[in-house]
Amino acid sequence: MKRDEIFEALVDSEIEPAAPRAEFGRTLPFVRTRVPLEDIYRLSVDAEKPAELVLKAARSGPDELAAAMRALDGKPYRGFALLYAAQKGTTLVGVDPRRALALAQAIHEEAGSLAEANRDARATTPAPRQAVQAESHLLESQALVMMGDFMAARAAVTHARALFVEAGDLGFGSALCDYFEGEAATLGREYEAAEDLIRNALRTFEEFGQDHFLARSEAALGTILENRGEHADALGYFDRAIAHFDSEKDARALTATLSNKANALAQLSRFDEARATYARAMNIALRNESVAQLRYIRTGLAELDFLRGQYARALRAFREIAAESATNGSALDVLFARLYVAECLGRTGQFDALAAEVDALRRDRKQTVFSPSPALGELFVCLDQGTIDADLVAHVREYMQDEENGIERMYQPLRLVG
Amino acid sequence: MQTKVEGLAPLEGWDRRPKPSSPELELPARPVWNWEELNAKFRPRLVAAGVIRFGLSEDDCEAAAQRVFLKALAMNPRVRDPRAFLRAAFLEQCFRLLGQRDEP
Repeated sequence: MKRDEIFEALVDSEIEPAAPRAEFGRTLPFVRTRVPLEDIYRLSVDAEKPAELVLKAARSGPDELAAAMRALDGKPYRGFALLYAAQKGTTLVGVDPRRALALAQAIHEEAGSLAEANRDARATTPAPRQAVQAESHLLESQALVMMGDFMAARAAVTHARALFVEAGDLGFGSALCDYFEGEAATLGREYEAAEDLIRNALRTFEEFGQDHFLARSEAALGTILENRGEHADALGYFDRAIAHFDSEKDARALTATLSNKANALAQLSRFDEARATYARAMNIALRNESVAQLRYIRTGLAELDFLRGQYARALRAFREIAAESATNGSALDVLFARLYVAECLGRTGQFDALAAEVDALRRDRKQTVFSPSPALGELFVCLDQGTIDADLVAHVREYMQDEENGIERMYQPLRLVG
Repeated sequence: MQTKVEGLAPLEGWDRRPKPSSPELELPARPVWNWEELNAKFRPRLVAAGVIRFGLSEDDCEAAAQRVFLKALAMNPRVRDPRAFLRAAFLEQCFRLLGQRDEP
């Protein structure tokens, strides 16, 4: 999109610009009637509450959702209600992606009976089928991302993109598609494609003056660089994102970006700055009672202690994290915390405790579904052979962290031969 | 270090798979717009600027304004700065109209 300084100056001028009146001939000009904007605005306002009710019904279950959809039948604001429900459905994605997906599918189906988009600028349809279905595909994409199906998520965005074009997109819809597809590509570790997509989105969000999306795009680019190991470059993106986020309205995204920045600083051995950044993130996460974010930040802080050789402090922190993750975290959170606990025990000379921790890990592992791991295999064999120590635990942990980060490499045993 | 960056895991129950940078858009409520100001004051400014700057007809500019206002309403939960959105979208419409006018 281009910029035009004269246009900008006219719009911003203190004196209201007055357009020259057209000279008319002897007949009155033909005036096309348009639906008053005021009426459409009222429809959009009226649609707010019903959209919230659809979202609430989606949280409850399929029967409630179907009933909420029926309640919209015949209502003049139905299109807007479906549109807003699809957009607000993003808040359901993190809580229950399957229900978010069901909501997206239901909205897509319901939208089939809405009026078609009219590409004639003079007769634009408010909330046409294509716009609503495009939004439903964006919601579908976010739900699929959350469920780990990144390819399908990108395919959903492709559908959204085509529908936005049919709906007469002005560029913003396309930017949303770029942003969401870029996020899916990042998670699918297709960093080059992700970077192109998110840079496109960033440009448009900047032109449209939407700082919160601009911030999200900056944060996403920082994440991509961080994933590539370009920690110093990532910092600039994180800083710009942090500057553009609203600390109240974007609290979660801001916390996540601060955590990522802290992680990048730690990678650069800038430990004091990392700790201060984690502390800022923690303040916001505490205020918002975000359990998962708090655990991530506490893990980061514990790792800082660990990296600085403060093993006793790190040990206490990782023990707490392991215990909490066992009740409300993932199995992998528990595994990594326990590996750190074992390593801290080894580094502080508590070899019996180290062996006991690894033994407990083995017992847990038998009860949990894990894919076979050659690294843990070596750890357990060495436990039985009495050759286990902190270096071996570190070797195993680093391999498993690389595996989790998508770095594919053969496991090289540290102690065992062949 | 803990599994990389993507620990950007602001979502409850999200495990250690790689994470997006901002997985959940926060759209808690409809942003408060000063509709009266936008419709009664800002819209005529856009239309007048389109006519003066680009020589487009008032009717074309009114239609373009209608279109971009509808698009802003359709994106309402996401649009925090409606003036910036409307201005950018309207300018884009002006360029589009100019392009159509210049077509043989």
